[in-house]
Amino acid sequence: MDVAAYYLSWLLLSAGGLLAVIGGIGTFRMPDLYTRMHAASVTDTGGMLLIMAGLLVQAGLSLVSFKLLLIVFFLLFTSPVATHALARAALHEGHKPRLGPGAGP
Amino acid sequence: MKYTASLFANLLLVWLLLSGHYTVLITGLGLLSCALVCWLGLRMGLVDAESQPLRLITRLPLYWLWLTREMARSNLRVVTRIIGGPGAISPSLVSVPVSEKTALYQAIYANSITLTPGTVSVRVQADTIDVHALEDTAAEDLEQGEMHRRILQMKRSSERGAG
Repeated sequence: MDVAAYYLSWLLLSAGGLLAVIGGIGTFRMPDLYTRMHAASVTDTGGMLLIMAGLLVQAGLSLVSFKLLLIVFFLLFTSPVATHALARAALHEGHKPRLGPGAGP
Repeated sequence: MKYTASLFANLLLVWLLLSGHYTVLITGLGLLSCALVCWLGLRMGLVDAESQPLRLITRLPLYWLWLTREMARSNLRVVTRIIGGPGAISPSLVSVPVSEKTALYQAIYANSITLTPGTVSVRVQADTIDVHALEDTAAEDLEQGEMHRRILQMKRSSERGAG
């Protein structure tokens, strides 16, 4: 593989991994369910897209890269629906979000 | 009819690109199963402008490009808030007006809101979407309606183009 492509995919994969870890840290640091979901969506979107982009560079133009694109496509459609279902269910159950600066108790 | 043809073409494309085996038997089985799925879809009444949004296809890539940029920007913003810790956020719950009643466009809007980190649509109603935002600036951005305007623009131009 081309050296430039190798380093590009290395860069994309590391950046995606970093975002996924930061999203994971965020789900622990945030104060309540709704704010934790925002942190998780960093892993869901930014982390996922960057890792997939890195893998796409690795795969080059082939049947494998089409499969990767298909995964990205379906994840981008299903993950917001799952997030919405979770948030709606929590609100429906009467789980009140903490609002305001600092999101105190 | 054109929706059935489009569904068939899409299914066949996915089959051909996923299988990678181009013998007569395998491709024939693929054709057969695509036809079967089309027939089932027709019987269930699923093949319509909503499941095959043909008019949108030429407009969607431009919107997706813009959405990707928005996702990148809000990703960075949420990352700085995570590093800043709970002191750096000010969650708020806002109602964003929706002037578009079609299920397809409401779904596009609500999903786009959820896809950009920092905002999650928690309830979709007839003319508003309730949004939980990680900080009030994100909520204000949404209330200014840039995303809504782009979706409406996409809808209008697709209706013009289809004639």
